[in-house]
Amino acid sequence: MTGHAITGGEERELERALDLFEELADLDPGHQSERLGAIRREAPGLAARIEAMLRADRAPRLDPGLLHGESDSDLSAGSVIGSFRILEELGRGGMGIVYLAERADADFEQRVALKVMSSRLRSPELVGRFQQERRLLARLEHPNIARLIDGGFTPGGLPYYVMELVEGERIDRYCDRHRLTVDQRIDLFLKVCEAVGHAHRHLIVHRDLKPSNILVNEAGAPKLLDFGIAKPVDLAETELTAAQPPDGWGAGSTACADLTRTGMMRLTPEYASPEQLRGEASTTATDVYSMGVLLYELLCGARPRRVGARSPRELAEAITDEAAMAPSSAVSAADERGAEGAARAAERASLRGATCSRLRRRLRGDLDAIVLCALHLDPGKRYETAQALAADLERERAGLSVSARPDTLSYRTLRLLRQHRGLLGAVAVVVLALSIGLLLALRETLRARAERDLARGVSSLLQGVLEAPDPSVAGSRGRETRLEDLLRGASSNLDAAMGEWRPEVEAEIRTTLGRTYLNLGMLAEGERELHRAVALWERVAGFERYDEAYRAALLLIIVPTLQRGLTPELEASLLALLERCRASEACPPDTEANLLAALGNQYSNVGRRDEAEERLEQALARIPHLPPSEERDYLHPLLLRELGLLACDRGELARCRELLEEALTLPDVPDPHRVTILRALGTVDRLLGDLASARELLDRALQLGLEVQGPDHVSVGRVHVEQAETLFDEGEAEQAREVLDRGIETLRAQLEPSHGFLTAGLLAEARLLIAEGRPDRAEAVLREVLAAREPERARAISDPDVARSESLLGWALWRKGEHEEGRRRMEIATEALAEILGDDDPRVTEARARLSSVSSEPGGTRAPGAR
Amino acid sequence: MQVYDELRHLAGSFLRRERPDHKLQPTALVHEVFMKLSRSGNPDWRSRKHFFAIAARAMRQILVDHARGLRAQKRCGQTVTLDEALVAGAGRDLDLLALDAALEKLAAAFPERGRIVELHFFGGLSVAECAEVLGLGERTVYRQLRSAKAWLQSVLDEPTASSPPK
Repeated sequence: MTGHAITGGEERELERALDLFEELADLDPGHQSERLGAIRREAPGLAARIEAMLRADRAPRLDPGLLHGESDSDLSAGSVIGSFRILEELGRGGMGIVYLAERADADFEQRVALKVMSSRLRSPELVGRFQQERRLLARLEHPNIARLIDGGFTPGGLPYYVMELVEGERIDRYCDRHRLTVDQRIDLFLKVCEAVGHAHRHLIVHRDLKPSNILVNEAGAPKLLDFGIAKPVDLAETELTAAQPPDGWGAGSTACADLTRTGMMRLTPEYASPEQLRGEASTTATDVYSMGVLLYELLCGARPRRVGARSPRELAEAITDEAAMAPSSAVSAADERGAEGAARAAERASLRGATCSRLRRRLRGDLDAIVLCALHLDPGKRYETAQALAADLERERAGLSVSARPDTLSYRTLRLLRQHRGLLGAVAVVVLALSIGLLLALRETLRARAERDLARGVSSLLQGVLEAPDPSVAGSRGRETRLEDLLRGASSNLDAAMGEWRPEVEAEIRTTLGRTYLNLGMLAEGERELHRAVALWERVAGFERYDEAYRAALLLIIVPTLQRGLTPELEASLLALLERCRASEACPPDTEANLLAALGNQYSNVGRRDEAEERLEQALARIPHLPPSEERDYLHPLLLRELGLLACDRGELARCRELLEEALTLPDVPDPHRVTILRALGTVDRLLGDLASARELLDRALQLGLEVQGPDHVSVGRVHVEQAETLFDEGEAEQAREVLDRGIETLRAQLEPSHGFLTAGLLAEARLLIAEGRPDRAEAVLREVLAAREPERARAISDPDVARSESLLGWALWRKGEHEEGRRRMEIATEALAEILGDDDPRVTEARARLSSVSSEPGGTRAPGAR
Repeated sequence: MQVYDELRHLAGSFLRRERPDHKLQPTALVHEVFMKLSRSGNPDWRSRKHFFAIAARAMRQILVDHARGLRAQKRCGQTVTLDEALVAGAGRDLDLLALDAALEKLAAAFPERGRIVELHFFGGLSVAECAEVLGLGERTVYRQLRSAKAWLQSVLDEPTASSPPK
């Protein structure tokens, strides 16, 4: 668009050309050539230009969205066909051109779509097909199928038909533009199923179902267009001979043509079924396949198979070889690794109102099975009709088992949960999924052992848990509240009902509840349930029978303790469990890995970094031995994160960043992990001085944390602390104060004083207090930190947190006027910090800067800049 | 320039073949961006006229930039045509760069025709919409668009224009 100046001469010539063209364009051919001849005699160049313009005008190609194609099926605006007047072109399809037209012979205003068959395809067969289409459409009366109004032949002898004008948007674009959720998309798709089902009941197969043939109006109603290649099923056999595909896609088209000729038949390779590609007969199952492709696309934004520029034959072969990937796996496909790919995947998920992992979870299971069943290579194994496909989708919706899916235990468990989706909300379902899964597993085990009464007991309790509160009555604060109430209700129901059940049943249920509380960050409640569960287990005679369940309870009971900090009892019980597990022959690798991770995590929290690293590396080494599972998805990023944080504590910030980044690239990182990892990355970037990046990472962490964990979760509290530190570094002390208070309140309420999260919060607090000119308060806070870390201090300063506390304490003292003591502490602490983190670490630089500001003003009364 | 960024973002995902249909339809894109921006309540976009003028210009810029990029990639006689991504239907290549240059010339002499073509071709506006946006009569728009298109196409049909300088 730059530098195309026009000279005065050119401008005059252009003006004359335009004027003369406008004069000549509507003349009849005789007068036109007469005028042209006159012009040519004076200005041959100009005449040639005008001729070229007139040619161009007769075959216009410069149309938005449609820049090519010339044929005598092109009709100009204003021409009258039958009782309709052409207004403008709407688009071109495989069989012809569609125009917007209006009724020319009536008083009432009626706008219609007028479709003229392309003259390039003129042949007796296709004319026959066209007329057949008209007959077919006349039989189809359905609110979601575009109505046939009229038909006939143009003056040029081309068949046309007039259809109800459908104003709408392609179904896929409509879904994206309205950011419809998966469930809303299914609702819409079900309406399409209904229309296709109607056609199927009339033995009509559409054969070219694809998004551009399904328009959705603003009211959200889909309309099926273009039964252009539809035909009655009973004619299928006679078609066979005409449908042998040639080697190429034919018709001289370039590779990416959407519409493709195969023999007489036109199809859209992306949506064509394998039998269509092979040129075999179409049945209702053929449409089911195309609908499977459409559903696939609507759900996950990708296509089940890549078509590329292959010939139908190659494609037919490829399809036989390539099993379609499940939609849930296609959410972020293999070639979309890396930041850009991830961003694209995230965009697709967000068009569905979800995050990638949430979208994957929603699709995984039933929807995967339904879509893949529709896409089965063998038409005999697909749903037979659109109604059958719809019926299964409806069953999925209602939470019933679907026919596409084998009846397995874990399947039924999830099913049960989904039935309660509306009641519980998404968070609750994820949380309860694990817990209730356990209950169901127990019930199955008991059934298998013919312990009917027990199994029945579990069932009724399960029901009690799920049915406890009425969401319309319970709390108004949103789903967290509702879930809390639900759990508390369940707890008290259980307390009342207990004693009626055998201890192992009660134990199992308490374990379930405990786990759920823990996941919600309600540590005290969770711990209470778990302690009671463990105690119950140990009262059961021969409880080794339930060893697995007992171990689960014990592992869980570790969680609240883990989150508060390592006690000697906790360490002992972890080690004992690990030993027991390793001693038994069938120590499940996931249990072992979990225990190792828990130990490593704890050691790291209390600054026993070497032991921590050893355990964590051992756990990481178990990861490849774990089968793909949620357990693994959970552990793997956790281990990388912990190892990263250890590197950070050693002053290896680059290494730390690397490990954390690696953790983020893993597929299926659970959201709570993601929160912590994003937060830790924020910490690293802040330390490295990249405050903008830190802020962005922390914003993401906070948003996700609030969404999946709620405002009172300790992870969210920790994010607040880090945000406050960043704000402080940016010089926004006031905002920092506000955010920090929120964070510390959360952390204090739930954590033991020695927990690393709380230490981080209190260190931030001290830094801020000093800056606010309250060194007294800062001193008190720091002494609190150091007291909580007493056992570690006794072993000399080896913990960066302790060293930083000491350094800040010295600073606070100095600011209070205790210069001597303050400086002495700062010196010792700075040296220790350099020892732990290395000379180049920003935290060391910071401590040194503080120290030198003190030394440069020995005993001075003016406070140097607070840092 | 928010419209430009939005359009480039959207168009980019088409041109990079991320959208499943691989087709870029300026009309749909411009509409999509309009919906998005008007939903976001940005008061600048209350004026449809302003919006479409900018959107059409942005669309043109995006497509031309893309075409330049494609030309840079062209090698070994391999044809990478924009219309693969641009056009709903198979056909001959459209030389977007030549079109852009010709349109520039037209607009230099006849700014109104330039705007009409831009709105119609790159903004995807119908004649009636162009008339509304520009405050002109439909007949005027139709007449000007018709002659402008004919002239542009006659320029594109010249042998030199179909093989632009490398």
